[in-house]
Amino acid sequence: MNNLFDKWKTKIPKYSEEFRAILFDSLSKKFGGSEKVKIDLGKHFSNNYELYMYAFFIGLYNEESPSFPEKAKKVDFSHPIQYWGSKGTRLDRKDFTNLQEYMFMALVAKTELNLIDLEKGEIDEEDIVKELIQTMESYTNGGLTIIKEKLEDNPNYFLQSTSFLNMILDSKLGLVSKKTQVLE
Amino acid sequence: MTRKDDILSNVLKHEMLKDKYHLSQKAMPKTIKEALSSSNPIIKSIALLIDNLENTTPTSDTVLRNIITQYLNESAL
Amino acid sequence: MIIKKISLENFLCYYGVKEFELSNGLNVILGNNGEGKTKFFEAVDWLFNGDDRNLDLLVSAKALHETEKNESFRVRVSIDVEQYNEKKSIAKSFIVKKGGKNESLISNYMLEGVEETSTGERCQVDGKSLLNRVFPFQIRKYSMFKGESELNIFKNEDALINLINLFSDAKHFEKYSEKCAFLRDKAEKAVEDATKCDKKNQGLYKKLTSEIEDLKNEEYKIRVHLNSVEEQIAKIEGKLQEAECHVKNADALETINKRIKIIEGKISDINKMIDENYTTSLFDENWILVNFEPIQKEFSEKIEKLNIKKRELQSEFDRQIGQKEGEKKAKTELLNNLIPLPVGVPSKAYMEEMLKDEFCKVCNRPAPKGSEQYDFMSKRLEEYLNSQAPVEEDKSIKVLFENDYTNRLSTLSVSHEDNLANLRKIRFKIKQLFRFNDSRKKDVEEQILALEKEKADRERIIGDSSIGAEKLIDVLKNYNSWQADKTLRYKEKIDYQKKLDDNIELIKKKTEEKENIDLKTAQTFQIKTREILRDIEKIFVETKEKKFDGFIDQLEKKSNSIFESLNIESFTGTIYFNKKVIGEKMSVIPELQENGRTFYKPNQSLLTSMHISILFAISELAFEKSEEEYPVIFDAPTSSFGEDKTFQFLNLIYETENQKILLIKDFLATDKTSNKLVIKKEFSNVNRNKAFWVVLERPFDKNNLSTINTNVITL
Repeated sequence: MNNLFDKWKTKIPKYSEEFRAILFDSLSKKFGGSEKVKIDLGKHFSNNYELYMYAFFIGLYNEESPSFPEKAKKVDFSHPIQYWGSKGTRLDRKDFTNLQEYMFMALVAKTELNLIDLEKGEIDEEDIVKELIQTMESYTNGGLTIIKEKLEDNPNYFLQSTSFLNMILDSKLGLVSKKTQVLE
Repeated sequence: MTRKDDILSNVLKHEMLKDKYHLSQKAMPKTIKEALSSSNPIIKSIALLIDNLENTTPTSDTVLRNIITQYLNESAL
Repeated sequence: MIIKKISLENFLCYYGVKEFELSNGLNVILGNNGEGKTKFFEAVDWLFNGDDRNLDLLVSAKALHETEKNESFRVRVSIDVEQYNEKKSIAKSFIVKKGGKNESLISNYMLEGVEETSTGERCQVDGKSLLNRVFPFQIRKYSMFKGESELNIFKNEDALINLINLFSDAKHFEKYSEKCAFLRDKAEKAVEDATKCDKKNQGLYKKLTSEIEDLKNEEYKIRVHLNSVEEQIAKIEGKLQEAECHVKNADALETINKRIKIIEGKISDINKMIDENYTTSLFDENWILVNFEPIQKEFSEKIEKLNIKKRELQSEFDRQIGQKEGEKKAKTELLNNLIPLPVGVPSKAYMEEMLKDEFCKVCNRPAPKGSEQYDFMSKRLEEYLNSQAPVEEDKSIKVLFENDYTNRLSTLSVSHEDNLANLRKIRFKIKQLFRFNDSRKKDVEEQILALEKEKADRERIIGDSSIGAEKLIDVLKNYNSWQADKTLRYKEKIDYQKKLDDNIELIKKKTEEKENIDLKTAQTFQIKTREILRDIEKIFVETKEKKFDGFIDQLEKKSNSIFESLNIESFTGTIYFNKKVIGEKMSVIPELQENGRTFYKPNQSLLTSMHISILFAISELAFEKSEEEYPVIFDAPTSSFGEDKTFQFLNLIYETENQKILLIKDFLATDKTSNKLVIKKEFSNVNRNKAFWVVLERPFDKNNLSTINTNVITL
């Protein structure tokens, strides 16, 4: 049986270089080695891919998915999705496999895919995966932009331990779901 | 008791020999001479090492290594 | 070995020949400051350890003054000893020939030895080798001490190693650790080389090797940090203890400090319960999925639609093919042009069950045998069974869908359907955690209030102290900041310890990973050899450590038993040897503890008695090792004691076994009526085997050295 998920997760998505210094270098700490002593109460991500995932969900929940401008330079951190959050050396942390699945579901939901033609064998699997990755990069781009603007407004915004959480809770979809979800 | 035998008997008291190599204290050689003719690789290696280092003229590192490593490699085959 | 006699001739203040006929046991030499005690010590030290340098500085000024020009005289120090009932003597001397105008010729020194056998025969022997035979160099190092500060032999970094080499079997194992490491290293390299040859794993192997290397460097760094934090803690503790000495109500202070510690512990416990790693929870607790429900819905709807579309196309396709194949056509007719369910739905088991019960559980209607419904069901089952049977594929018939991606997508959709309930609970869980954290924070605030109250009490107690008011403010200010500092350092220590543990765990893990590659690629015999050599190294290293620890234990026990008998200031604590390993280097630092609490700043007299206890313990060990006793010579070891304590001390060490020569300035006084220096009558109560008094010949001019002559009075 063919599996798009398995194919997709071998990819390395990219982001626009403009975010590297201002977001990735400042908000995520590439700890290597042991993480647990270094996590300083939510003020940072312990890995580049965590920031990437976070930005993706921020873009997703705010329905922001601007595609890259043509000439934007794209960069990545050479870490295929399947290794994001793998147990490995991350003592005391949990596996991210199910988060990978959720991201994938979101991409399938949000991408115009001609799956019928794919099944008929008229389109190459590789092309479909490419489109999924494009969607992923677009939402991440949207999320990163939102985070960047937050920082521009208030450079100290992320010094609070609740900041990253609040941005998720207060996103466009978050405000909708707040009304519908069980609260007490 | 010579120094060689004394060192040997001290070393052979280590629990690892019992726990990992299943050698009982009773079965342990009492002298370096006995140990050198042991068929157990770890005992014999230890004996080779002591015998060599306690000699008035110990051999060079390379020679020592050849003696012990070669013996171990062959006994493992 | 016992020193029977020490003779000094024209050595500094000792003009002419002066003799000390010593006894076994305790020999006390009294002397006022500047009257010849230290010169006596220096004479013996010169005999044992001196060289040719500055011989002119050892000459008695009086002797030089009294000698005519071109005449010569001798400077000489000698000892007569008894060893195994044989008499031996060793003398070191040089000749001074007086020239004009303060210029004199000084020869090199001579070290002569004379041995006398039990039959009374005397013969000249080499002085140096005789000296080393009667009083070995290594032992001499632990036998002569000048002043209190020298008593702390562990100040010297190599002291421990020297002791081990002298007295412990551990020294025999030293070389083994080295050789074993060498052999193990080579065996590891052999395995590594074999593994590296395997191209497949090269990259990963290299990466792991360098990672392990980095982690080991990191480990070393952490250890250095940890060690420095520990040292800082000791320093702060020392300062605190010193400050506490000034406080009058020490017991109350201790109680309050205990209470403060408890409250601080509570605060840290509560703080540990507060989980504010919200960003981590976004991932680990899946909080990031809090708004995911509509997207999941979108996904499953899309997949559902896709499924329907696919079946629609399939049946359309089938219908076209079916014109050639009667059977498939019949099937589509049967469904009145509706899209049929996939073959195999409901499952085989359900179909069989429904047939058996003669009831269609899909439409909830009876389906008796022979009815249209019953026939339909059995036909469906048959169709399914046929589809499972290996069909000889008709290559001429084209398949509509070459691939099936939908199946997996459907599975994904279904499997996450169940998780929806959990997603809906996330917001509630977040709220719960916030509430929990808030109430813990309130607890912390309460505890902080209690803490402040205790601290205020503490300030009041410290305020009631024995030092002056202006200094008091200083102590008070520092006391609190030291306490705060201490808490901080302890936290740092815990952090480093944790870091270290993590690091070690990680190294273990990486090494295992690396070795798994070895196991797959290297030769079995190489792996086996490596394992045995590793074990051998471990065995030797641990045996050495055991021997070493055994020695330290012995030293500790002996020191404590002597320390207890000295019992200075009715101190009930013990000497504890704190073993530390930093990198390759190991050191041992003796500490005083009482009820498990280390005294970082013990007063000088406690320190002195600790050091003397250790030295006596060493000399006992020397006796056990060589079955021979050696004398110890102390110059002013107890200057911090005061006369009463010295009195006590002397009576106590009188009981110890070996020969002791003690130079002290106590028990001397100036008689008021005659204005003469006399020995106090208290000295007659001091237990001793022999006593001397070194005293300057009166009158003398302290500015004119040629008037100086120390006389030795045997008491």
